[in-house]
Amino acid sequence: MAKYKTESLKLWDKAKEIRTQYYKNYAEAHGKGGLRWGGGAWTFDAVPAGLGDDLYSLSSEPYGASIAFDKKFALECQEAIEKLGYARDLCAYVRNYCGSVLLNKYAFGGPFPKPDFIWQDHICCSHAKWYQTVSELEGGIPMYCVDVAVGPCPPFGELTPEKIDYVAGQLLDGIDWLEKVTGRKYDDEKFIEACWNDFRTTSTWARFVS
Amino acid sequence: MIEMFQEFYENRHEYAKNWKEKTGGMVVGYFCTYVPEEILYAVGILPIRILGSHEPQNITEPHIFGMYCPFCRDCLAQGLQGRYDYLDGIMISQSCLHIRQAFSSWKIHKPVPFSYYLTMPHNVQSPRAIPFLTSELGRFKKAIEDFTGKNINEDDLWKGIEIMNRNRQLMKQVYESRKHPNPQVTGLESTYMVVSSQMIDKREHSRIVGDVFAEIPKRNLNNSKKIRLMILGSEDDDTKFIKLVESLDALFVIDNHCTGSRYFFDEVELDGNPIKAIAKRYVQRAACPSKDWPERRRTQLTVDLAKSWNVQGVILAQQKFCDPHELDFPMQKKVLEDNGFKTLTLEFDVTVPVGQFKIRVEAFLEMLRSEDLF
Repeated sequence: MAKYKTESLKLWDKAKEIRTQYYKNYAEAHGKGGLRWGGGAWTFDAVPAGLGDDLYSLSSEPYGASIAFDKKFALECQEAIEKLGYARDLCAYVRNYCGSVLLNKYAFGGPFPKPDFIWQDHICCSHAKWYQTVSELEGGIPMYCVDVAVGPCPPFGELTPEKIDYVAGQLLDGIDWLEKVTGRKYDDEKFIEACWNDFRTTSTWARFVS
Repeated sequence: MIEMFQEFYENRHEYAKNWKEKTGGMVVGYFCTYVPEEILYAVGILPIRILGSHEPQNITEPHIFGMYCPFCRDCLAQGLQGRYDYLDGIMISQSCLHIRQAFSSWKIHKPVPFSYYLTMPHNVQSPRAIPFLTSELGRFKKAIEDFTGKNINEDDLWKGIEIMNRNRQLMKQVYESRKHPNPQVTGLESTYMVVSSQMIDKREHSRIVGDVFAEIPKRNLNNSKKIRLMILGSEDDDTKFIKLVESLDALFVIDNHCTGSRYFFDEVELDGNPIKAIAKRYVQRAACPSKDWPERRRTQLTVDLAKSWNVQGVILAQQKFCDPHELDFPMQKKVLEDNGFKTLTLEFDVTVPVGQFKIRVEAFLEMLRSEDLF
């Protein structure tokens, strides 16, 4: 007898529908005149939103996990990247993702949709190197990566003005870079709106899990 | 005299304990070569690098993930086994997750009077890195002043810089001498020289290196016909492996790893504010792969080293579970081979499979020698 009563999420089918649409939007972005970009799930995704409403991202770790769900495809991806000389003990998300790029196969059908630029954050020792590799496998995709490793935050450490300046400074430099790489003018209002959406989503999720 | 470096390496703990007794000073163990030893020397502390012992162990299993690299587990094992109990402190300069875990676990299980996590930026290619590291070094300076009760002024910092720079210059001279068609220093000797510099007082090390360098022209090693090799890697004090390769009529003439040239090739520029000068050096030095992004600068550096030292083959010593290096090596290998250098990739753990590696190295050397025939 289960100790805690539980039930399936009523919105689960809706959640899957939204997720599928997310991957479809990314693949079909160019057809709608939009741009595609790649980066980690924790990257500062509100920032590229300032370039327009037609930007679509493929976040790396969820995509790696999606490939893992398809065991046959995951094996193909990992064998492909291993054949190129990449170590078997590398992060499996990296191997799945890079294998998908190498095979030119998208986990959701069709060829792998190449991103127009990479907007990454470096949250573990592999993150920046991951997309450095992706850029090379794709023949050179413009890449920008923000280092967020400024040490532990309160209560475990101090968040100094210099630490904030370091991260914020990279983001500001990143906006200049985005404008140069995409040829688009940056819209601060779109960025602010994206930040607001970020805050709403994360605080809603916090309420959800509490 | 050159054997002294091997003695220092093999008796590192005895050296540190004797140093403490002789000087009454403090010893701080550090985990990564991005630690600014200049500041520790400025306050009279002896910085020594914590390295493993290349022995199998199981003491770290409850404390560190099984898929973390053998090096970080080996380092932590030394602490948990009590071999570094004489340390007054430990510090790390933010590097990879694995060695950070070794540091954090050490702090918990082997508490020391002083421990410091220096937030070294990873994005060394960003113009924001130097100002950020300058501020972090200022905070570190304050922390070490509070711990020691000593004030560090600008003169002290310049003295610390001079100690480090002098050793770097001398070691570079030794490495330059290995460009010679008949080098009078072997790869094994060079390894002992560099790694011992991370374990003893640099002032003493510099004196001995200076004396050894004066003796080098008098040596008569017959190395002119040996295959000239380069070794690349993360941390490579695998002396058994180097000795094995050099027993096969080959010679390591240059390297790019953090118990080699990457540790000392770049000096602090004697200009302006010393803290900022130190920050500039550590940001701009030859980068560890974990910091070599988004642009790959290490690959060109490696090719330049291989050309300058007239290398015939390159051994890529890939540490198991080291993602930054493992994501670098395929491109590194490709660039080297595109520039005419043959490569051999070997996967390293704490201990070296001598038999298997010997066969592979022999085959590699045969391949290199056959190029000479035709």
